[in-house]
Amino acid sequence: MKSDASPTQRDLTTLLAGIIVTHGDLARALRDAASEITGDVSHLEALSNDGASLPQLVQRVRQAVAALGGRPCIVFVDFRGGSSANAAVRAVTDMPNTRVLAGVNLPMILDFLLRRADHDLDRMLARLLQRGHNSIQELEDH
Amino acid sequence: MTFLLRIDDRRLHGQVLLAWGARYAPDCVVLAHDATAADQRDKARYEALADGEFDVVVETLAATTARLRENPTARHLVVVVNPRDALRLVEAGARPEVVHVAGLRDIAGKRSMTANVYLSAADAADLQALLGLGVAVELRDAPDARSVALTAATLADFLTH
Repeated sequence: MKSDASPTQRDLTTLLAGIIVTHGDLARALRDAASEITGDVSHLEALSNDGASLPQLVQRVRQAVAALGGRPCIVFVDFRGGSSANAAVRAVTDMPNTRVLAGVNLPMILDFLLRRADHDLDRMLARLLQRGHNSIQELEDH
Repeated sequence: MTFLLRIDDRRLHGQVLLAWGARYAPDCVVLAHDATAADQRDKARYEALADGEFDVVVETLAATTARLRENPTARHLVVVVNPRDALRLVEAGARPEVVHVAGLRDIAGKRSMTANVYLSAADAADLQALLGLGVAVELRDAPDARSVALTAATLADFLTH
């Protein structure tokens, strides 16, 4: 798939999808906050690790990916080494069109939603790594 | 030997690696679990979680027993997945500062002691055996959460009610 093509040129049936997996209600809160700002949170699923063992959480993620019907997907998790990340990594093994990104923050989700029509999976991931990092900055009053 | 022993069937996760990693400041976090040690892929996944603050090792109970004996001045945080494995370590000569019963999920044959700790009769008996060997055992999940010391009487009461 060509990167940087306009939405009208790209095959929108393969528009990037996202799954956010976190502790507690963080995933839903991120999705809800993004919805207030961008409006369109289609193909962005929010999952919690609440009450799930590792195998159960792996299954939740796998089911969410399967529901995407083959769309390329980024699984956003809260932090490396946590149960959400541990489950996501195991769930997407052998799924070539699915990647896992830890350290999810709202700027990252917003950029994903606003720019996913413009990039393929690899370019989107590279962009989000940079955007996520760059979003962390000290602010001053001027 | 200086080590903290946690019983947690979630194996290694954020509470262990981030919270207790920061609070206890181990040199090495060890998942002592024969089955995970035998699964090369899973072992590699867990060991890849080392981030420079401490090492992460997945090995058998026997290997952990030897590690603790051969490295008496190193600071270890050891995770086992059930009270039986904790008892096996102690019976093999390991002496933890304290045993935390942190997480044992609700499965068939177990009853709730707390929201995060479900015990079978065998689990409770193994914890009683740990106490009998002079080891301090407490219910403790997060570092700043309230800890509850387990006693023989507490476990006996759990078994009979």
